[in-house]
Amino acid sequence: MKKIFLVCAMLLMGSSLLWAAGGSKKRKPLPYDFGAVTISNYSQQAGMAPVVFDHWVHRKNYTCRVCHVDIGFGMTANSTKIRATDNAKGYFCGSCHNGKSTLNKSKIFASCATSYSREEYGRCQRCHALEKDPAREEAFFSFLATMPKETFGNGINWEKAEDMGALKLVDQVDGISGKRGAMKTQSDFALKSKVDGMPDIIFSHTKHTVWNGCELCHPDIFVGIKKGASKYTMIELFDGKYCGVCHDKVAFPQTDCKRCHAKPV
Amino acid sequence: MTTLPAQWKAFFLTGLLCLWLSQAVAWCEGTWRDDFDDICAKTDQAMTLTLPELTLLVERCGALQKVIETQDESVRKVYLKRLQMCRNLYAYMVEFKKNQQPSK
Repeated sequence: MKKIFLVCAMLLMGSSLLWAAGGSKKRKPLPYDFGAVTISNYSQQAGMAPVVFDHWVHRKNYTCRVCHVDIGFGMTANSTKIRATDNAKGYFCGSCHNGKSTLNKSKIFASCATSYSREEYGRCQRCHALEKDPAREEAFFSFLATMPKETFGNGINWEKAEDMGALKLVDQVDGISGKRGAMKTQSDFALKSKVDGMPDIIFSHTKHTVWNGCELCHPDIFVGIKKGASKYTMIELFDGKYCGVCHDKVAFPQTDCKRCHAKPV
Repeated sequence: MTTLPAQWKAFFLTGLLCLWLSQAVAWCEGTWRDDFDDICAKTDQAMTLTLPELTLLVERCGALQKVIETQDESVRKVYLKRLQMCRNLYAYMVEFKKNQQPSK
């Protein structure tokens, strides 16, 4: 009887601790919202709504490297501390959103300006969106319809889309990206799974270097260049470290086990 | 031949000086940007570079950092971060290559 009482008390204590720590189940984002980042460093002080940045709109056209290496955006939300003046001077969003740059022969709308008229305020709202825009949601679903499907994330298999030529990503932007030499192709490798029965991981180094370059991952995310130098667990990955810096947030979620644990048994 | 009045001469000389100054500023900016592009263009080949080449790149990053630190706030924000990424990669490769060398 005493034992049962003790177990019950421990369970009660554990659950109350979890409750206190805000351990409610994380809500799975909708396909449309997956990868969306809210940027709110200075917007509210300037009387504007925060910026809602849709990753899918940009990743369908550019490699990660263009924005996160060449333009200099940080890898976590609000870490870059972008100001409207930076954009107006042609940095960060303003690198492409300057009213002059083009993509697929159409002009990219200009981002922030130091002064604007009442008519121009509509342009601000394209990024500083207070409420969900049904037009953007509709644009996502029409884009999704043309892409190879995936169960998790935003429902698009981006890797397959690129392989089959449905996407042709821009890797260099004039005036922003520096000149680049030919990249030495990095070979893919297998990583031993730590759980019995779980297939080993096949890491596509080739794909990752094309999308990210070397400096985005090494040494900031993965200290080791030699295979096995960085030791990590799934707990750390789910905590947003190592692969978790991108996967779960923008790249496919880590709950899609078979995408990485792909070595045939 | 008619000579220009002193006021016109001063005006002409000031204009010339302003033009020279703006050209000098543009040239300086172009120089550090060229240097930056040259240094960071080698990240893709970092694995194949030799230890002296990598060491030199790290040193050049250090020197360039001082120049960028004198620039406008937006430039500093963008280019110091970009430079740090290049520097960190080269520095890591230096360490990696040093550890690979057989100890004497």
